[in-house]
Formats: sequence, structure tokens, C-alpha cells
Amino acid sequence: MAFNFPFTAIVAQDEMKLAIALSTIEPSIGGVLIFGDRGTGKSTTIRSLAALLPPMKVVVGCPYHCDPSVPNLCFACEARKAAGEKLKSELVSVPVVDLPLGATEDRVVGALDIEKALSHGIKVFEPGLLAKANRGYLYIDEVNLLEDHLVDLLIDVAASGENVVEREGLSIRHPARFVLIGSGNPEEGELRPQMLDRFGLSVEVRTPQDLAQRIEIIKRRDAFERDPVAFLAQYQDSEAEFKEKILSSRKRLSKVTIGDDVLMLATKLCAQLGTDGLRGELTLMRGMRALAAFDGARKASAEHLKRLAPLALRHRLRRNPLDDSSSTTRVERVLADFF
Amino acid sequence: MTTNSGQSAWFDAQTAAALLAIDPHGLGGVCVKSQFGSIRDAWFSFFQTQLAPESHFQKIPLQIQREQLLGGLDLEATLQCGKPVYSAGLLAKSHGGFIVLPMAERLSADTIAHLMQVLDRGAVDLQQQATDSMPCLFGMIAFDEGIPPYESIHPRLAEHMAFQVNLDQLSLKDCADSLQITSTDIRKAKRRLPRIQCDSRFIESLVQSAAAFGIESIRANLFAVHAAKALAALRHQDAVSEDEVVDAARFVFSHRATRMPSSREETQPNEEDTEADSTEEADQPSASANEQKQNNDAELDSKEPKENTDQPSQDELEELMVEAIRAGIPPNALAQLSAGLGRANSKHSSQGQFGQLQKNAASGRPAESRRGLPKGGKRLDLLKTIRAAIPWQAMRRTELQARPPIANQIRSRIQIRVDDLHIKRYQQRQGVVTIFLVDASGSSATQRLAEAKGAVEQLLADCYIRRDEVAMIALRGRSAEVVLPPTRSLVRAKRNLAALPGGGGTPLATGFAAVNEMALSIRRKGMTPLIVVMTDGVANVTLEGVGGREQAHQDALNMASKLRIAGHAILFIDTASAPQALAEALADAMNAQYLPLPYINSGKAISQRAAHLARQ
Repeated sequence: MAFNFPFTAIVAQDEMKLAIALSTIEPSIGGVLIFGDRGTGKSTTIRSLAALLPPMKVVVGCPYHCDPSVPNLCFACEARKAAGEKLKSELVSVPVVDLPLGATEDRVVGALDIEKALSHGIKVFEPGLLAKANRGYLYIDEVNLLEDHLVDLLIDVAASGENVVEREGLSIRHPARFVLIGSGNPEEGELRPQMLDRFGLSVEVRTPQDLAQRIEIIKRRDAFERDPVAFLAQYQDSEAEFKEKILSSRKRLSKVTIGDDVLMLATKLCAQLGTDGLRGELTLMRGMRALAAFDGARKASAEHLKRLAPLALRHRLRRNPLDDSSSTTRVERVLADFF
Repeated sequence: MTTNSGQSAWFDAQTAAALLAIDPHGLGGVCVKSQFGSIRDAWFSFFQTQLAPESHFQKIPLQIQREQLLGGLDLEATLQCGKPVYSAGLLAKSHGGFIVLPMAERLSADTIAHLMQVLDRGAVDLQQQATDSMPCLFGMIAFDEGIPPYESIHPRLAEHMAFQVNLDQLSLKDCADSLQITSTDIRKAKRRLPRIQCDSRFIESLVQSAAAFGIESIRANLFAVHAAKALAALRHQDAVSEDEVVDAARFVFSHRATRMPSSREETQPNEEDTEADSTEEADQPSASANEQKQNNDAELDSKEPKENTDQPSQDELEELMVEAIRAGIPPNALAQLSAGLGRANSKHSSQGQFGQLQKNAASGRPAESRRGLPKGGKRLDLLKTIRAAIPWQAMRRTELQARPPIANQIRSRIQIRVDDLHIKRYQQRQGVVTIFLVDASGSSATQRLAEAKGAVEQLLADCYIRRDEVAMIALRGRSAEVVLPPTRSLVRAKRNLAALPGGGGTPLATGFAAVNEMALSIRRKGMTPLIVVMTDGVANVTLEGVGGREQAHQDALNMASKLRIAGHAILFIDTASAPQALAEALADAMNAQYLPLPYINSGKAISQRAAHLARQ
């Protein structure tokens, strides 16, 4: 089976790694958008994510990975409970599901199980990718090329956290809460503003300009390909350490406070940049908390705000075609005024 | 044996095939730029019968559907057996072999997306919903028959292939000889490959020379390392040596170069050369493999390894590599790169055009049908609907029998439900592509260019939510140059336009021809071209590329009438300080809207007029 390159062996790309780490600490930040050229390691980073995530507890046999510790279970689990079955739980790895560009709507939302219909003549819902991604990650490469009807669907599900299917007399709603990770090359097309808004954080990646770093990337990659097992063993400790850091950050998260002064600053920042809606501020708040937890701090500071602002806001700026500077520069310009 | 340039290009193409046969997964594939013909056949048969006779070659048809590619429920077999039968997709069957992509430039974005996903994971799912997957590694052979610059293989696909070979300019004589590599050599090399080491100083040189040529992709660097190792394996070595590094750099980096190394400008062609080149071969940026190697020393060829047995220093090695890569770049692309223009119209001409296919159009290339109601002018796909209904028949019949019969109900043979209905979809790129033809000559070049740039950006900003695209052709010196291929990306437009210089003569006729060609190619893709011509109408370079006002104007008039015949919507903006009779005559000849606007201060006015015209 193919091995994934370890996350902690990825050279540079600190912003991308930070954004992904924050989304694992606080999933409600709402997804990460990664824009950059081909061959910058976007997909390597995302594939390495699965190994970092601490396993989660699920109901055995539940297609939606129900969490046994919460009161409201999915319809399938409720039905099993009602039938007197005692639900067992198990630890599984967090799903990271690929949504390919050409996926059909049936495959994404789920459809009637054709196999069951043929062999048993019964109607059974066959869950789709959205079900598979529940409580995990949904990764869309080339998200900016996704067909409109799928974009609409995702926007809706990402907002409600629920997938509703009405088909052949079946009426099913199941939880579909996932962290959306999108990647793409901005030169190939723009993303609809509504979709942009669904992503909590956005990063712009490019190949490291430092030659020494590039050389290091190739050397590590070469070593990994030559002997993946030995390479993975070499990074075992750092992977475990990072995993532990994510776990402890999650525990710390609920205790992190944000002072009113910092909140005020965040509001002012959004107003100054003219970001639409409240989502920018919400993301800033959640993101700051996660960042503080990641740093081991108990209180989010203005410094955290400063570090987070480009990630949380750059994709929310209104476009100004006559302003030549990139949105990152615009955020930084305003930040410079503030600090 | 002396080798001429065509012959060594042929040997290079064969070497690339051998390397891919040795390490298909590590090198991804080879993109063969060539029209269908005997030379291409010769190359492929060399690959198939001489290098890899035991390997499986799977052809992937252009219009392949997802189920065929990735596998899925086999409806026919399932109905026959009465239990689900899954069939493996073509990709799963290709594991360990090669896939062949004919007409790769026409592959749909969906097919490319599926391919990329499998390449990326190195695995394919066994069933639709299975958590089970099987490894799926293969090499790709893509035949790009596109005619540049308007059609070429999708950059996403090209990125995943280490090599590009160009067979179009080779003669049969060039290909008379063949490299003496047999399947036994390949087998032995394959066995040797895992043990082959690449010294880190070589990795460093490779990364450095890639950076010098403006190659950003990490994948390209990796390909070069793999290519060097495969070469070493082929040459019976235990480790990569200088020769392999230099050759690998040439094989992998030459067609990827986006600029020339900054420190070595001495061979930069002068203005004269650049112009002559682009006039001759304006439409063939990725030119002849033939000429590719005119200045290539035979010593760099894989057949005759370098004599120098002393260890060259790191600097010398890099020097050698830079030379080798430079030698591999097609001459006219070289001129472009040297002029600092990047490789916009050869490498990425198709960027921004793919994937934004509108699939709800009423005409165009047929796309996969999707579930839906045939309302609002959408047409029912009867076949697909029946196909969708068939699996449920037994179940529905049972249901129907259980229910009390309704009076006057027609008992049809086949039970179709609303959910079965499928509607036909066609791929069509909707929307408008506005092509700016900008006369960047003379004294007011800077100002006019600035206005045109403003208009382009304004248009893009106004309409990026719609499916509109913008392109720009500039008249410079003796040629018309595609400075911005059709794009929807503001980022890209800005970058390309920022680097656009002005000055030189006014080859209006050539410009009209270029704009006509682009407009026609856009129309073929299902979009509507809109042409905006910005000039004072004073032509001074003829179609042949020589000076002479009279002839130049006559040529321009002739070309203008071709535009009229083609029936394009054209906006003619006279940029002279007072309305010009010549300009008006041209506008008349092409049946354009004539707009004397001597003092445009903002691109806004132009963009509004263009938007207005587009709506008509």
C-alpha cells in the first residue's frame, strides 16, 4: 500500500501547516483554502494530514461515524437502538475523503443502493461522500473548477451540517459536518465568492524561494521514495510529538480567553478592510483561540490576531480591480496601521 | 557515426521512451507532441515492441466515462446474473503498465481530474463505496496533436509527465536508425534501479539549474532526479554521474523553462532576431525538435557521453547543465524567454479555458447526462432514463402489486419514476471572450497600452462571475503577439500585461489575421468572440513583414474583409488624435462599430462599450 509522506517532514510552507493545524484543533473555524501553483506540495500536505489526527470514537457499523458520546445519533443508529440493539463503539482514524472534480451528484450526496435493490429487491440508502466525510475532512483538489451544481450543494451542506436526500420515496437526513479543504491554482479560474466565504482560512503557497530549502525537499523526498519505512521511522517521534501537541491544544482550547481589547481590535480590523458579513470576525475569534491554544497560551493576544489576520481575512476582501496589490498585501497594509 | 540534429532529436525521443520504460511511476509519462503519422507510429512501436513487449498498454478513449475509467457496477452483467457484478476500470487494469492517451489535448477536465486523483493516490477504489483500494501505478503516454498556441495538452496533465518529445519536424531519414536498446536492457536496468544512488551534490545542482530557468515545480525537480537514476541504470552504472545529471536536466527541464538564467545574457538575441523568429513561427512556439538541437553539442547526447573524466567542480557542472538545458529549448521559445516574455503563449495557452465548461447548454459536445427534470428547454435522455429505471423494476413491480389498483391506470411494461429521469447535457463554454488587438507601436504606445490594460482589467473585474474571458494580442514590430491568451483570471492578466512592452511598426494585416484565427478557435469552443481593435489605422508593415504603407494598408483591408466574412462582432477604436479616414475605411471593411476616441482616459469607457456590444 502507498505510504504517505510525514507531515512533520514537510519543509517550509509554515502558513499552510499552521492553517491545517488550527483546523484540526478547532474544526468550527471552517475549512482551509489553499491556493498555489502546481507542484508546491499542496496535495502531499493534505495526504499527510490523516496520520496526524488522533483517532475518534464512533459507533460500530455506523456509516456516518456517529459519536456515541453525544445524545443525538443519526437515524440509522437511532433505529438500531430502538430495535433493542446495544451500540458498541470503536476507535477509528479520522476520515479524509477526496471529492474528485468529475464526481456525480449521486456519489456525493448518496443514492439508493443499486446492489441491494437488485439482489434483495429492497430500498436502502447508500451513503455518499458527504456521509463518509462526516466528522472528518473533505478534500477537493482544483476546487475552483468544480461544477456549479456541486458547489451549490456543498455550500448548502457546509452551512447546515446536514445532508438531506429525497429520492424514490426515501427521505433521509444525516449529519454531514466536515472540515472542507480546497486547493487550486488561481490562474485557472476564480472561486465564487459564496464558496470562498465557506472557507475559514486561506493560504497562498508557492515553492520556497530559498534554494537550500528546495534542495532539502528533494533530498527528503528522495530518501522517502528509496525507503519509506525507514523514513517514516525517522519521523516517528516528531509525528507523535505533533499529534500530542494537537491533542493538548484541543484540551486547552475551551479555557483560552480573549480580552475585550483584542476583540475590539479584530472588529476594527474587519471594518477597515471592508470584509462582508460577520463571518470574518467569527473566524478571527475562533482562530485566535486555536492559535493561542497551539502556542500554549491561556489568553489570545494582539500578536495572535496579527498572525492570524492574513489567513482569516485575505479571501474575504472585496475585489478592487484597480488596486494592483494582492489581498495579502492589503491585509498587511492595514495591519501595519494597527500595530 | 555522425549524427545530425534531427537524428539526435530522434534518439532523444527514444531515450525518453527507454527511461519511462525503466521507471514509469517515478517519471510519470511522456508527452508526445506530434500529428498522427508514421514517425509517431515508429516511436510508439519502438516503445511497445522493442522496449516493453511484456507490458500492458491500455488505450484510454477520449470520451471515456467515469465508470469505464475507475470501475463500477456492471449493469449488464448484474442484470444477467441477478447479483451485483463489479467491473474494474481501465485504470485498475493498467496497474504496472502504461496508459495511452490519444488526442490528449482534447481530454475533458473531468477525465483529467479522475486521472490526477488516481496518480496522486497511487491507488484506485475497488468499488464505488468500498474502503478497499488497490495500488494503481502506471506510466502515461500522451499524444498531443494540438496545434499551438490555441490548443495544447492541459498543463495539469503535462505537469505530471517528466518528458516531452516533439516529432513533428523529424523526417523519415532522421528516424532510419534506432537506438540499440532491447527489452533485456530495460529489464536489467529496472533491477538495478532501486540500488542506484544520486549524490546530494547532484541533487543540489539539479535544483539550482531548475531555479535558474524559473522552474518552480518541486515535481519537476523530482522527475530530474528520477531521470538521472534511470539513465544511470540504463548505462550499467551503480550511481548517477555528471553525465546523467546533465542529460536528465536537458530531458526534464528544457520544455519547462520559463526564463533564461539571469547571469548569462551574452547570447541574448537582438531585437531583429526575435522579430524574424516570431513572424515565421508565431503559431508554433513549441517548435521543431529538429532545430531544437542546432546549437547542441554532440557531446551532450546520450549516445556519446562526455570525454572529460575528471570530476568537474560544482560550478562547472552547473555551467554544463545550463548549456544543456538551453540547447534543448526550441529556438523561438528561446527568443521569447530571452526577451523576458516568459512562455505565456506556448506553455499555458490553454490555462483558464478548461474546466469551466458549462454543461447545461442546449448544444455543443455531449456531456454525461444528469438526473433532473426535462423542464425549461432541457431534453430528456431516454436511454439513460431507461437504464436508470431497469435495476429497480423487480422491486417496483412488487410494490405495485401490493398496492390496490387505481382505476384506469395504465400498466406499462417498464416502471419509470420521476427520479429516473435524466436530462441531456452539452458542454459549452458560454459567455464572451473579448479579444483586444492593440496597436502598441509609435510614440503613443505607452498611453494606448495603459488604456488597453485598464480596459482588460476592468472587463475582467466586471465580469468574472459571468463566464467571460479576456485575451489580448499586441502588434509589435513586425509581428502580432498573443500577450494574453483567453483567461478569466485577473491575477494572470495583470502579470502578463505588466510585462508588456510597446514600440515598433504596425503590422495591422498580421494582427487582423491573428485575431481572426483566435476568434475562430474561440468559436469552435462554443464561446462568442468579441473583438476590440485599438489602432489609428495607419499600417506600415505588410503581411510579408516588410515596410511599405501602401501595400500594408491594402493587406490590412484584405484581412479586414476576411473578418467581415467570418462575421465577428467588432469594436474599432480609433486612437488617433483626430478621426482618420484610413481607420474608418478599415472599420467599414470589417463591418465594425467605429468609435473615434482620441482621448480615452480610462479603460472604463472601452469596457462599457464592449460590454454593450456583447449584449447585442
